Amino acid sequence: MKKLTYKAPEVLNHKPIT
Amino acid sequence: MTNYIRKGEYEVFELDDEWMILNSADFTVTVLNEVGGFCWSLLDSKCSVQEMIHAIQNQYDIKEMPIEEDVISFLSCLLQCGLVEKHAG
Repeated sequence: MKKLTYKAPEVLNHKPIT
Repeated sequence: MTNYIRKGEYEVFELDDEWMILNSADFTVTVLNEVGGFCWSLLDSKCSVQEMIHAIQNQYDIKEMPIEEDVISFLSCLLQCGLVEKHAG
């Protein structure tokens, strides 16, 4: 089973669709 | 107590450890990391900062780690992206 490691929740990218 | 909830129905794709949210109303794509995706999954119903903190601490087994700032910062990002809304009380 995959081990869950904590990283701060983050918005990596946010952009409009063209 | 302030609650947060998704603003609408969105298409969500999970690629590797990233979550991609397609907002077809505003024509935007938002990419979250894995923990961000876990938080997003909690926001299908009203969720407070404290509830989100407890859920993350249980999921990732980090009960002693202070993560309140992380969660508040993430939620304000989602607010700016127009994906969630705040409800007082």
